[in-house]
Amino acid sequence: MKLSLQLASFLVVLILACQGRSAIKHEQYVAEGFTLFQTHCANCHQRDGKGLENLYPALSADYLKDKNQVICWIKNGVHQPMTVNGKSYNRAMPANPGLKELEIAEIMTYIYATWGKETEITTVETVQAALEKCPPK
Amino acid sequence: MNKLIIVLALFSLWSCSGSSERLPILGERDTVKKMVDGKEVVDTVYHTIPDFKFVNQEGDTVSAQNFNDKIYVADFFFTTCPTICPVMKKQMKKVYEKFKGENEVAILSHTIDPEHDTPAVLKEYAKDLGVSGTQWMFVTGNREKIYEIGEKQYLVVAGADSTAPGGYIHSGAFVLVDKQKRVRGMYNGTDEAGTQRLIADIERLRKEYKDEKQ
Repeated sequence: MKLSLQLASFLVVLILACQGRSAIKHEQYVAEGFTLFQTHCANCHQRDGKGLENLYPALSADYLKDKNQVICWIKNGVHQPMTVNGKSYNRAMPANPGLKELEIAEIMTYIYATWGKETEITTVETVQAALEKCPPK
Repeated sequence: MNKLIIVLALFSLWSCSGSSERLPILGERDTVKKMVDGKEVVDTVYHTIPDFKFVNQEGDTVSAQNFNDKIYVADFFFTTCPTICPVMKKQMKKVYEKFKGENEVAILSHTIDPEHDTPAVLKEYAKDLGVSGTQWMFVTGNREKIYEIGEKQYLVVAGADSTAPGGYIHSGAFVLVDKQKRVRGMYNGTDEAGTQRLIADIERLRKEYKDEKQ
């Protein structure tokens, strides 16, 4: 009985510590992602993520619904029309071939923390896996 | 004596603040001497935007005459620009919304990528930006003429540069031109403060013309 109590409290501490660590990592990713977002995304999608009229779509839930697809968009750009929230957008999005996988993971984490209310990071592994399956350009 | 100095100082302050309500006239100026009623007088010749010929989003030819008796704002952009243009267009849209329907105020956006930005491309861009009619003109034309009017007349930088994102380098300035086609102000078109200052100065300029009429 005493042992199991000790074990339980040890587990609780362990979980808290892990959560703390992942929360810190999340914050780091969000901070880095914020800076990268300002440089590579905000000109068109705007700092508030609301896009611009019918020229550039907002980063709404509809836009963000498929993470793997968003990862491919960031790396390779978009070269065909898309529909977001019922509106059609037909301006090309430029590719960002210079972005590293870690940087894409940080941008993804920032975007999904800000407009998707997510508290988990998008990992580099997730980005790698998604990029391998991107449709050919 | 001291009192007189104070009064004079106050008067000069007052007269300065009075004149500062007028916007400055920018660009190089020249003076010419001419004879009026047998007396030699010196006249100042200001820098003015010369005539031009471009094509707007409706496919119509546009010249300086289209801006006769208008206060207008000029800028340079291209539709596929990934850097400052979307920010500038978001800010210019605020200017457009503010003076929408006012006959006296116009906007003139020149593309610096005329090969890609045909009148049809510009029309679709205007539509997607939520702009209708021709109070806000998007114009294309001869590349050299566009760069030349940008650099020499509107005093902003515009040109091809393969190292710049999107392939062109250009200024983020909004240029305010009065009814005599004189440059009256330059504003940072990429930030809110610059845009608000432009809107305020358009109002000041309109007031100048209104006061002159009376």
